[in-house]
Parts: sequence; C-alpha cells; structure tokens
Amino acid sequence: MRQYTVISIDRIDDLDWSIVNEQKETVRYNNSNTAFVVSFDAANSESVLNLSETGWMSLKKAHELMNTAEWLHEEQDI
Amino acid sequence: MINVYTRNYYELGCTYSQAAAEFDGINDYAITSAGLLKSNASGGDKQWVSFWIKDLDTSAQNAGETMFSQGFGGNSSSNAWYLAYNTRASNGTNLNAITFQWQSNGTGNRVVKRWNLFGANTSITGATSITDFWLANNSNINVNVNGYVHLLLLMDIPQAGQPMSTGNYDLYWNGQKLTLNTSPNIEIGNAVAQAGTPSLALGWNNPFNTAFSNARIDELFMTNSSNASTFMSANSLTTDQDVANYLYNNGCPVDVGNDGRWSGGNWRFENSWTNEEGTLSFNPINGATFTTDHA
Repeated sequence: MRQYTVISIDRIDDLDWSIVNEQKETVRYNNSNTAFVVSFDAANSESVLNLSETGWMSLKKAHELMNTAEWLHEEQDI
Repeated sequence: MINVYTRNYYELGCTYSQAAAEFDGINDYAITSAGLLKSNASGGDKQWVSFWIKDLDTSAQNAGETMFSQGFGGNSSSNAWYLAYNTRASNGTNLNAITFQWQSNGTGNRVVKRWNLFGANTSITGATSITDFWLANNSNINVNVNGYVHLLLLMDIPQAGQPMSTGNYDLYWNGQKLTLNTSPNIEIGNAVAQAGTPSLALGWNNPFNTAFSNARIDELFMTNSSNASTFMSANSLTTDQDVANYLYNNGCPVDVGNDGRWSGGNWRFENSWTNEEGTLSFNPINGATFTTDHA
C-alpha cells in the first residue's frame, strides 16, 4: 500500500530518493517551502519515516492535509 | 438460430481498453515534451480533447482537479490551456463545475468557459445540486458500466490574430453537450500564435502549477489543427454531435484505428505512456502509474 509522509526541507539531502516514488526535482513543497511530501511502499517505511516528524499517512489523510492552507495552491485566475 | 441484433453487448462490460493511467491527487502527473493544441496563422480550425475519466476523490476539495493542461511550466500567461473539475473554489465556495481556460497571452487575451454539473445539466451528469459533487462514492453521477465519464472538449480555434470571440468551445459529457454557464463566460482579446514547444500534462495544471487530480484517465484522443477534419471525413462525421456520438460510442471506448493521420494524438494507456504513432510519450512523475480499472 502506498503511504505518504511530510519531511522537513532541512532533511532533503538525507532522504534516499531511490525508495520513494518522487524525484527530488519534482517533489511537492508546502506553500512556505519548509517541507515536502513523499510517498513510498510500506516495505520502505522505516527508512523514510526516520526523517519524518509526522508519521505515515494514508492517501485519504494526505488529501486532507493537501486541502489545508499550508499546502493548498491558489485557484487559477478566473 | 441466435438473433444477436437487439442485444446490448455492453451489458457484458467495455473490453476494448484493458488499462488506464492513475494519478493520486497529491503530486502525481504525466507530462510530454510537446503539445498539440494551437492557434494557427493560416486559419481557424476544429480541434478536440477526448478522454474517459473516473474521479477517485471521496470528499470535496478546495482546489480544482486538472484533467489535462498544455503550456509552459509555471508560465500561465503564454498559451496556457487547462480543463479542470472544481468541487469548490480555494476559499471553500461550492462550484461543482468544469472549467476550461485558454490564456493565449495574459489575462487580456483569453477564453474562460464553465459548465455547472447541476441545474440545466442535471439530466446529463446526474448531479442534482451544487453540493451533489462528482465523487467516487456518489451514485447519482452518470457514468458508464466501468464507472467512467466520457468528456469531449470540442473547439473551433480562432486563427492567430483573430478575436477569441470568433471561436467556439463546447463540452460533451457522455456524448451530450452541456449547457454553458452565463458566468464566467470570458472571450477577450485575440488568439496569439504559439511560440516555443509547450508540454501536455495529465493530472496537474502545469502552466499554473496547481490542481492535482485524484483520478484515472483512459483513451486520450486529441487532434491538432490538421487532422480533425481528416478524422471526421474518414469516419463520415459531419457535425460536432456526430463526433461526440462516435467517440462516446454508447458508453464504451471506441477503437479510433491506428491510422498515421491521427494516431499521434491517441494515447491508450495500455501499460504504455506512448501514443499509438510511437512518436510522443508522457513521462510519469512522482508515482503516476497504470491500473487495470479501465474505462
């Protein structure tokens, strides 16, 4: 099962990018550019979660987080 | 003797497609190195974007869900195109509408069209109110036997240099043309010839850098300026409604044929990100993948 977590940007070079689904160049940051979100298979969770202060999230929980002001992008200009 | 003439074979399910592309709505997307849509200097013409989509969200989001976009990364002012479903605006206001925008050159040269899923379009979409959202767990929404909706954005693109208002932009849901909202309904300025090479993106609004989509997308069929009329002639399609009927195909993806005249705009996502012509591939980013839950 795909799991998600948030990692501080201070740890970006500590992450083994080969065990997450994202690439360093395309990862999604929060609006203050202090943290980023990654996803990973459960088998790799320990290595990834060692860098996280929030623990793992399901896709549903990750959606809830992305829907908060900290992560939500401004609506397209209409 | 077995009489098969009156049998609805779709009761057995749609089987032409066997796989679809899947995006998580967190950070997944797929992107190409080139786009297809553009305003031509030599004349206006018909162009379209056709695909099957299954929304996977189970609750309304305060953000659009991009179905496709075309443009230059992070540059919303130069020939930026997108089609997105909005459950709510970013301030939480309910919308329950699909929005199309083509920003040819800044906000002074653009088209914005929006179609509510409810109201005049309830009989087509199944959505009964502004809060009856298109979500995975809403059985009101009119979908095909595999839970997918067919969308067709059918456009008459103005010649470069001509007013945006000389174009036409219609959206078909399962083969039926949706009634356009009176607001926003923006057609200002002129179409601008495209300079440079834009990218097509699925699941994310690349030029606006926003609005990831939690959805499955299947059987993408886009035309460019030269091959829409060719495709129509080859299939004896005369009107826009003919095109919508043909591509909706009574609720199952249709085999448009691997024909070099138009297969450059046909991505089937049968465990491959490459078009049927073999000339242009999507690059899956941040975990975008395939699923056997097809249209």
